[in-house]
Amino acid sequence: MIFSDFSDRNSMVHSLDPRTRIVSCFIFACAVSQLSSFAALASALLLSLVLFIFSKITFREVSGRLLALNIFFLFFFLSLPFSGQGKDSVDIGWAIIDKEYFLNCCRALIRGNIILLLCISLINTVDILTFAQALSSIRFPSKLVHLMMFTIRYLDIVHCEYLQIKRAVIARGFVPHMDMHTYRTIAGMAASIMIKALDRAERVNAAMKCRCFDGKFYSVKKFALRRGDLFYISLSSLTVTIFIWGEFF
Amino acid sequence: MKNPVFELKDIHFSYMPGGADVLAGLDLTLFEDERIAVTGPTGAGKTTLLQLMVGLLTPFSGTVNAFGRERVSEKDFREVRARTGFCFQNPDDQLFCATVLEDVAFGPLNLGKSRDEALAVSLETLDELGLENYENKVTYRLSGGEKRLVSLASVLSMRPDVLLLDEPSNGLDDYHSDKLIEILNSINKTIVIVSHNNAFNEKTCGNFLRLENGQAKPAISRGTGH
Ligand SMILES: Nc1ncnc2c1ncn2[C@@H]1O[C@H](COP(=O)(O)OP(=O)(O)OP(=O)(O)O)[C@@H](O)[C@H]1O
Ligand SMILES: [Mg+2]
Repeated sequence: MIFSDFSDRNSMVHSLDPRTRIVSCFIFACAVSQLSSFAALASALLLSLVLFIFSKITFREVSGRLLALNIFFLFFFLSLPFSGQGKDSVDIGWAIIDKEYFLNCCRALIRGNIILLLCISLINTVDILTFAQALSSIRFPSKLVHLMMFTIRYLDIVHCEYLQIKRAVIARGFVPHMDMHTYRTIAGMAASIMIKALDRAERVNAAMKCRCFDGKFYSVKKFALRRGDLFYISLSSLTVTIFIWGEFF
Repeated sequence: MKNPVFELKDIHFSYMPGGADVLAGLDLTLFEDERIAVTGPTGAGKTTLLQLMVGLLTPFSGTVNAFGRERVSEKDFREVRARTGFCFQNPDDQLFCATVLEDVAFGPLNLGKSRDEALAVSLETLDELGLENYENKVTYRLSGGEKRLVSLASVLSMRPDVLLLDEPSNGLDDYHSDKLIEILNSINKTIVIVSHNNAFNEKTCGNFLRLENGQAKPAISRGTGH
């Protein structure tokens, strides 16, 4: 599954109530997006790293995602600082760099990484069904919950179909080259993935109907705030308050 | 004479309007406590037949009677599905929850059982199938045979009056296949089994149908394979 690879572990983060994780992730992300001083950003980064380490996920498992995000930001660094005509321009010999734009890029980079780490350690440790149930139990509109849940579910199905077809093609000795046969095979693969995924989605839906699914998710899990949650909530509220305080006053 | 639970009359069906008929004038009656094994060549329409019975597909013509009433609308069939456990040919289509327990409890919860009742019935079903200690396993990481058993459990946990099983013994080893036979024989239910496995059919069912050319014909048990 793409979405919830890390939900089946045991860690301090996993033992938190899913609702606590989801809400705190949202609040942290909002707070982080408002931070601009580098001291605050650095400490927020440190905190998100701590959370990440507590969730017992290793960097290797998420290196792909981190890399993708940072490559995305690389493009900002390659374009924005050179485009400005600001007051604080610094001449570094072969180019003129706008200091303010450069610093903004740095802030965005740090914020992006913080939020990604937060999402990985707080959201990716909740599996889809629990996620949906947690959202409905905090009175999130049920239509949105369903939409999200099925989007995730079907994305996952498309991904599975892709892996399956890839295996089938490789098993029959396909090696990509720059030729017509390769293009035709890849086009065929893409079409077949979409069609198979649609079919699959229909069958999953049929199977859910057979088990009397009527649009409401019931849960065997009972959500309960434990002492750990309360501790975590008070600690994180304090942190957010300090950050906001430091930023605005 | 026992009551008929399902009665299909003169069913015509094809997937494409104007296409070749998958079912052409099929009649089938399933009586209470009757166990029918349906065989037939690949692509004969066995899965299609089961889907028609629970209203996942609608016949072009013909009638479907279930539990004493003619069933036409989606609402009619919802009632039918609550009493009919349908286990799909491919367990991957059926399992969608993260953990085994959640998947097995999905049906009972939808039927309006309380959380505790659903948990109890799910654990009991898992035990019956020899799946103790599976409840917290992640469904998509199970082996093919384990998925098959869990998908069976997810249907059995609804405690249905009628069971429709599409290739239930596929991918099971002898031990679990025997276990399944034992379970099916101990729950005195009305069952339709679609299976190419003659030994399995003979040990579980009393009546045999062969689906061919869009119609179902009674068959004797031996030599019904192809
Ligand atoms: N969704 C579909 N769209 C179009 N045609 C279909 C679809 N599903 C099945 N068919 C066709 O209908 C016929 C009957 O299919 P069905 O799945 O009922 O066969 P089956 O008897 O269950 O076969 P098997 O033993 O392989 O499971 C086949 O020829 C198949 O190609
Ligand atoms: Mg079939």
